[in-house]
Amino acid sequence: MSPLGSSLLALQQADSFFPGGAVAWSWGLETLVADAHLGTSPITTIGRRQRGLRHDRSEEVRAFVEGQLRHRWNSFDRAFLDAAWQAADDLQSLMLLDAQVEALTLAEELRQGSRRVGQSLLGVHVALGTPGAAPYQQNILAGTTSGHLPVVQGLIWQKLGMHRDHCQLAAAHGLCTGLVSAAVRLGVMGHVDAQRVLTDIQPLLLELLDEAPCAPDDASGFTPMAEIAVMRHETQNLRLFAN
Amino acid sequence: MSTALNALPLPQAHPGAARVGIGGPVGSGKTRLLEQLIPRFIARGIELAIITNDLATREDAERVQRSGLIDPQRVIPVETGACPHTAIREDPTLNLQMADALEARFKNLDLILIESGGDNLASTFSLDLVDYWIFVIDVAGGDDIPRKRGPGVLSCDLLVVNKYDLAPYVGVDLPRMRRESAQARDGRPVLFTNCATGDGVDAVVDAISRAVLFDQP
Ligand SMILES: Nc1nc2c(ncn2[C@@H]2O[C@H](COP(=O)(O)OP(=O)(O)O)[C@@H](O)[C@H]2O)c(=O)[nH]1
Ligand SMILES: [Mg+2]
Repeated sequence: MSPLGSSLLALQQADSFFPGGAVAWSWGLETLVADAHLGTSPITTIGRRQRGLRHDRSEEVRAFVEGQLRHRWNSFDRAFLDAAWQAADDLQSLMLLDAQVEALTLAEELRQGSRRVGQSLLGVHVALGTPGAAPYQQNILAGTTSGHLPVVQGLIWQKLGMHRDHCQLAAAHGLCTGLVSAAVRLGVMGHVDAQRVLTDIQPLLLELLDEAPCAPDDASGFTPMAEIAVMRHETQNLRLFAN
Repeated sequence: MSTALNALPLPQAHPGAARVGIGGPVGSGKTRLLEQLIPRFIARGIELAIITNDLATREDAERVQRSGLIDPQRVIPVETGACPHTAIREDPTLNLQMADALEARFKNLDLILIESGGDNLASTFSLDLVDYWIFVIDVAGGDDIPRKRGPGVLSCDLLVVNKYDLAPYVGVDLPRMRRESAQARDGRPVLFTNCATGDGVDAVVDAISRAVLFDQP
């Protein structure tokens, strides 16, 4: 696959228009917002022509995205994405990676989120006839593997012909976009600040991608605040998101 | 004569129009509320324009244009590509562009009212689009709506509960709905209206004026 062809695939796969069920997941953000851990907006209305000037919470959102990118995606998901990309022709290895993600993800809501988003992404690729998608789905349906997101991404994107670094770029960018988009839908920020956060996070994203991913045996995830928030999510009164 | 004029304080540069969103489910009475608001604002000398986000037709815009209440050129429909909530939140750029165009065309506009296409209880306005927004629900839609605490009900600047005249016909306990609305809003404003007759609409005009037209005489 030519670099341009692989880039084009990455654009399509990372596009929030690509249906993968990701819109329904906030990864703890909804609870943090509800608990005012993401700053609060003033109750009083500021007056006329103050559009966009209300208390700006982009710093808090940026910090949340950075935490997720650095300490969950880069140190954990990315290791499995890359390993799955390399093992895309080896069903046994893929299932082993899947089992590792399952065993190493502490919070039930994160585990479930990763499984459900992975399986919906896989479902779309089964429908599209992407090679390797249907057999892997059979294994999930048979209960022999879980279908976690990074494993499915590695498998499917390798089969499509996406280059290794483009897969990582697409996954990282897709994660950031999804989180920022959730923040917009939670009313935390407007459309311009959302793009500002995505722009501000890019140097970090590129810096992380500059280093090689770690091996699955060295994978680690540590986002305690988000994990506690995700665990508390099911008891929240108002729930727009699945986690 | 000219000295007397010179003695007057210089008029301030016109600060631009305040933008007020009107959201809420289909049929709750958003367009009817507009039709009640327009003559009241005009009577107060407010320079007004309207943007409607009809779902699939230009019916709301045309209805307001034909109403005789306002210069039809001041009423503009914006298409939303079947995504009414996107057009007021994730990607409000078309509405922003239309509001800017209205302000460029009608100098000294004080107020632009933006009616969202009917949406569900989770729809909210981007604060990059509006200065203030109203969420309109109606009594006939069920007295459980305030209790369900959708983001529209919770986060709007003003909750309007319309069609209170219908309460006896749809088995709604109005005092209870008032109580539960106030609870859900936690001290933020709620107003009850009958937009068929205009009852309660003056209070809506007052609320908008206080919030975003305070620099008007
Ligand atoms: N009885 C009664 N009918 C109303 C009231 N407000 C609006 N309506 C009617 O409800 C229907 C829907 O109103 P409309 O303004 O088109 O709703 P929209 O979809 O929110 O713009 C119309 O037939 C209105 O005449 C009200 O306060 N009482
Ligand atoms: Mg309407």
